Amino acid sequence: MERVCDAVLQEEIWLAPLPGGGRLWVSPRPGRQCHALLSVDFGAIDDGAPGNCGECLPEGIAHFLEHRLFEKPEGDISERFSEVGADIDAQTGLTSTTYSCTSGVDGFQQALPLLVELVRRPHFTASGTVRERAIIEREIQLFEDHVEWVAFQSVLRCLYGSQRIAVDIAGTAVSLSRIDADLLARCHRHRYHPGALQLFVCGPVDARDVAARVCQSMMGWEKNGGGESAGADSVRPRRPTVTASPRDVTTGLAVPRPRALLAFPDLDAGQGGVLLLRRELALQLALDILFGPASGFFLRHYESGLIDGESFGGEVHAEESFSFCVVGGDTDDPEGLRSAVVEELERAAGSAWIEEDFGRACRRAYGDMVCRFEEVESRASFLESAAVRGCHPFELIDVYRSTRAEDVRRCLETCLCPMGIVTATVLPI
Amino acid sequence: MTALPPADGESLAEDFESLHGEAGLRLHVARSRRFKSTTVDLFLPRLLREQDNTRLAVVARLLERGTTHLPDLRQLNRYTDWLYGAGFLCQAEAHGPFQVLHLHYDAVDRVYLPATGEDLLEAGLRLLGDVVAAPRCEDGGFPPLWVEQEKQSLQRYVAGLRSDRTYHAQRRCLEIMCAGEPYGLSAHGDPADLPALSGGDLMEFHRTHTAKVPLDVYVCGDVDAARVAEQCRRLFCWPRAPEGQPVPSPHDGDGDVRIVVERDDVAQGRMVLGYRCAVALGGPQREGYPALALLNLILGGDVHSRLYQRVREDAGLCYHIASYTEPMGGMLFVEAGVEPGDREAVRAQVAEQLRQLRSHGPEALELARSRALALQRLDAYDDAREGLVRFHYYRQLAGTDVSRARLRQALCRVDVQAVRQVAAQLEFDTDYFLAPEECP
Repeated sequence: MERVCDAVLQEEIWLAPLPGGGRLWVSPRPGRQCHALLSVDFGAIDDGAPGNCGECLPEGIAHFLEHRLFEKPEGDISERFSEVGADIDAQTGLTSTTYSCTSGVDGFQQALPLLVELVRRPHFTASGTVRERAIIEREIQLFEDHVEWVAFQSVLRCLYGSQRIAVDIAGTAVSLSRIDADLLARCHRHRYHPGALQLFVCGPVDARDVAARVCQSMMGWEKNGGGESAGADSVRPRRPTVTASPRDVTTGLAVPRPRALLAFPDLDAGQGGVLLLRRELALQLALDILFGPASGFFLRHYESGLIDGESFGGEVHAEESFSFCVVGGDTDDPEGLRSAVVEELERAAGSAWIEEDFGRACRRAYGDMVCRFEEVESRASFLESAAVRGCHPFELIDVYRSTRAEDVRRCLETCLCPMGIVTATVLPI
Repeated sequence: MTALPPADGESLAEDFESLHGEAGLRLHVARSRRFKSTTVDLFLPRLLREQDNTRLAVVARLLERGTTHLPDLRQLNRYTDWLYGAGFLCQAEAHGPFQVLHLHYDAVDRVYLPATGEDLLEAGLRLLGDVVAAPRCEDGGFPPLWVEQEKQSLQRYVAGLRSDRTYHAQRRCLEIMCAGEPYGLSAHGDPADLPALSGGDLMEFHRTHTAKVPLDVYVCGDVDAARVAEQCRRLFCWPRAPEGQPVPSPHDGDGDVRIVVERDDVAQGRMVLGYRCAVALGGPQREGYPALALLNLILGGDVHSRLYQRVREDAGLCYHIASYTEPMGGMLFVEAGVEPGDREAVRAQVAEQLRQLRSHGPEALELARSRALALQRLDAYDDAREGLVRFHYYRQLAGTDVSRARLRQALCRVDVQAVRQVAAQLEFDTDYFLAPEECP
């Protein structure tokens, strides 16, 4: 096992290879809570069907698979997590599916092999698939009332039109009807192979002990995975870069106030590794300097009533295959908000704001980063955010120490510029 | 698996070292080297009362806008950002029948900073002291422009809460069930009260509020209690002469079930069922509370619970169903996202599960599982200070034992019979349904 330390944070991170090409990251921390986050390199935007037959996987299949993996021949596996005092949760994202488990030290010994079993041993039945379809249809419906969700989906449609990335992670009624037990099984064999896994463990644990336990529960997996298993990560297909085709989108919803999100496609998309981490941080600093709570923009437009403190903010979504920023929130005047943002960006280009405010923004970002080590969950997600991009988490810390004002300035030219801006508006009906 | 020993020899015995200072200041310190930052929380409570709840909600927002020394939002935010992104917030919260002015500050410990030497804790305590004692003032009141802006913001915020349909349905059920009781009032106030409020009136309210209620200060991190006590004495020096605030007893149910259907533009209906129970945290039958907490977990507090397994997984009647409690009020709620056509079936399933729990109690396995989960969550507070602080403060407000160790023991003693008894005491009070407009 490889151990790396950071002197300022007084932290150590252990890395071990897993059988079949996956990776285990351990960040020990004194306390009572243990947390394990298992990330599978298969998300909603992945459409490659097993066997390279040119067939496209139905939208929503990663999420469907996540739901169905909980069913085992003896019943719902979450009951077994409960029996050992562990909480289990799962989430499907655009580029990965994560299973996260939290428990005390004693239960963790049993929970860890259960987590491996959860993703390793599927039990897909025809009746379970039919029942799940109904549950997911209800889930989709429930989110249709959710303004944050609706607004974010609109942003994706703005940027990516009808491409897969802009379809609901849970799929659609039509795509769900194409998913059956056989497809789930084939898809599982193809995408849930040991090389597609990264496991992050945080808490009062011994790293070598965790590694031994995980390796033991994974034993034999790569051999009995079946012919379609992709095996080591050298053969893992690289996701193609999704190209943006920006246009405005307006949606109606029963909300009291309009919500306007301005989206900016990143012309520097397609980078990976440390470059991607650096780009992500630079974009975050740029958004903080221009539109954050300590910006002139925020003060002026909070006081004028154009924006509010609760909903207004900026977000960066940077992955190797897509990258964009979002700024916005609730406003009575979506057009006015767009003009104000455009005007601010035009003024920023000819100003020294970035250079003048860089020190403050960096201090804030550094403090926020340190605080991600406070809890086992946020610590695991910090590790994950570096590792899924092919970096060591301490490289991410170095990025915080080495980013320069020029990196932020560049964001104004290649992403946060008035030219590429599109608006996703949710209007009250 | 080898466990590291708990840091600093911490044990479950006492979470906080509590020091009772003069003028109603109670300081609670949890010293630990486990964390990379120090948190400070100030709580100033009052009973929820009509109009006053709106005043406190507006005041909390005004306090977040600036102080005499940091006279606008930008200067305040720049200041905390220079403290390595220190967190600051001020909000009005409901804790059972109380509305609490809560101020929070957190900052990285100096040993983790790239350049050491800055005392971010002293800076934070000074900031919180200023926020309470030296808010920005014009002609003896909060700045009129700010007051108008924050009234508008609050109004919009309350309107915005409606777009979270689940929250809205839960809120409506509580309002209907607890009409005329503090429990039914919102920590965000009532927008109808806003026009009458002025900067002068609000400043006077703020001064009176902070002078008349006890001040609880929680500090968690690698700190020295005696030094923090000295800092609090020096920096929290507004006049205080606190008056007692007993917990009002919740009303008894009148035996009738209130059935209320409201309509809104929702894709899916939201059902909330409210039950009253004589067992309440801090009430006369408080010894039954651990059984109520376990009943909630068994019924619908988790994914292995009956409602989730029987109604969602087996019957496929809804995507979401759960139960939760209002501990001080001795209330239990079941909420679900339901198609109007399935409402009767879901309600019948809930009634059937409760009937079984009343007559037979839970199965031993269910009880063991829920207990394990409850204990695990209780232990988990060691690692998450916000939960630890809230656990302690909520129970202190309720006037009940604040010891986690004793609650742990009590949870271990709960048997099938005790859960059956508390289930038998549940009285169905309110049946609320937020229905889609077009439903018949």
